[in-house]
Amino acid sequence: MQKQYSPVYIVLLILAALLQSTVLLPFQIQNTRPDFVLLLLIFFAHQLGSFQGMTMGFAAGLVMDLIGLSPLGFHSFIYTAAGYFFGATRGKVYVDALTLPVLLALLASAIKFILSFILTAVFEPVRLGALFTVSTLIEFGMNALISPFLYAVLRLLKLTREHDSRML
Amino acid sequence: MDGIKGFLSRHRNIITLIVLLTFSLTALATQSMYVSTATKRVGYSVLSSIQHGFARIGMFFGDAFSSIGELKEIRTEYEVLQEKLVEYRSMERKLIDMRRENEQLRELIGFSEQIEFTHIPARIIAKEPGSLFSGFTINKGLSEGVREDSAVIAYSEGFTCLVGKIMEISSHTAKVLPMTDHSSYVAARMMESRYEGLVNGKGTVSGLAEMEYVKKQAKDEIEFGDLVITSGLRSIYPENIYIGRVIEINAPEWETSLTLEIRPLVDFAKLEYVFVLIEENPAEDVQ
Repeated sequence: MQKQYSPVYIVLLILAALLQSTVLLPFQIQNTRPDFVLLLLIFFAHQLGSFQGMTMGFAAGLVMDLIGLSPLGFHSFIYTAAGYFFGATRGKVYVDALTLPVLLALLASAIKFILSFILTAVFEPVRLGALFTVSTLIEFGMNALISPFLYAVLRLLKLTREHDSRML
Repeated sequence: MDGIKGFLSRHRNIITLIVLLTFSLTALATQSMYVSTATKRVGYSVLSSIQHGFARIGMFFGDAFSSIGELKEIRTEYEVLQEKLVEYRSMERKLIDMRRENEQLRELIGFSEQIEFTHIPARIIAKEPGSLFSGFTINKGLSEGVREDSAVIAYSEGFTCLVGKIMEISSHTAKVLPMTDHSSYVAARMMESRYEGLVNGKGTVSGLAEMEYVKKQAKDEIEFGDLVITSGLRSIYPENIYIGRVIEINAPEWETSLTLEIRPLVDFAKLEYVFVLIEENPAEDVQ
């Protein structure tokens, strides 16, 4: 069985959440930034599996809820579910250098959008309008554009690697 | 026992998933963003220190990189400035005299006595990590005298403009809810016609706000570009702080009041520095 280093990945995700709200602020178009935490989470979850994926997602989401103005539980719910879902792709999907990172990023953005819509409709209906804006599309695009580069960097740092995978 | 252990072991993933999602939903269901739970308060206090540290590192590297680029320009500018220095020295003497005169005039009109609030300058060090919520974090907190619900202003286009209010505080940082947020409401009035209304944010992405409940008879007296200010009525915001300009007037037949679309004077995308107002003598009716 492969040795897991989930604490390292959790620390990296928490760092990403903190960097996303500070140092990475210049990476924005129309007040919208790519979701580095989500992108890292899907690659880490794909690497480690569902259990690690959801715990990492929960920890990163909790940090985002604590440092931001979102209600506690909002991001932790979304990232837990995303971590579980993308963890389930471990060993089932072969992630190449370009196509799959883009597809996974788009799928993750879509899952985030759907869950945000549900949670917002139930708990913060006043914000529903903010979801259906050009900002959401920009975030989709930015996530898709950045994902191959981010995945390449992660492979370079040996934080992700393909093993026992089959082409889908 | 083996049965239960075996069951837990076999369904470890799904059980953990249910537990984590239930925790998140329970947390969501038992709080609104106005009621900070103890958990959130403690967690924010710890994380804000780290966030503060990252912001300082980011600023350090940002300043360092921009310094290298500016070095060449500085060298050429230096020679030109040397020549101008002599000229400016004589101007400086005149300026000192003018400043002194200006200060004396200010004292004469009692300008300083009219200021009811002291303000704490602060720098924005972090913004909301996601795009759905629109708060930002400033580098001043409880230790510097910032209090919850304090009004936050900024200077823009020569006006003292409303930015928002303090939502949560830690010892050295505070979270600000911008006036353009969906959950922000500000008691306001038209500067010229004096009609009152309630300004509600339309989200940071649009960067606009709406002034609702303005009497319909005001329609003929309101024009595009009119300024909207805070009314100060039963509000945490002091009166006469500029909010924005009217860019659209909506008067549907079926509505009993007008809805005005407001463009804030503050450009939130470019905002770097703000001032937190500290009320020295809070009025009794202030909420």
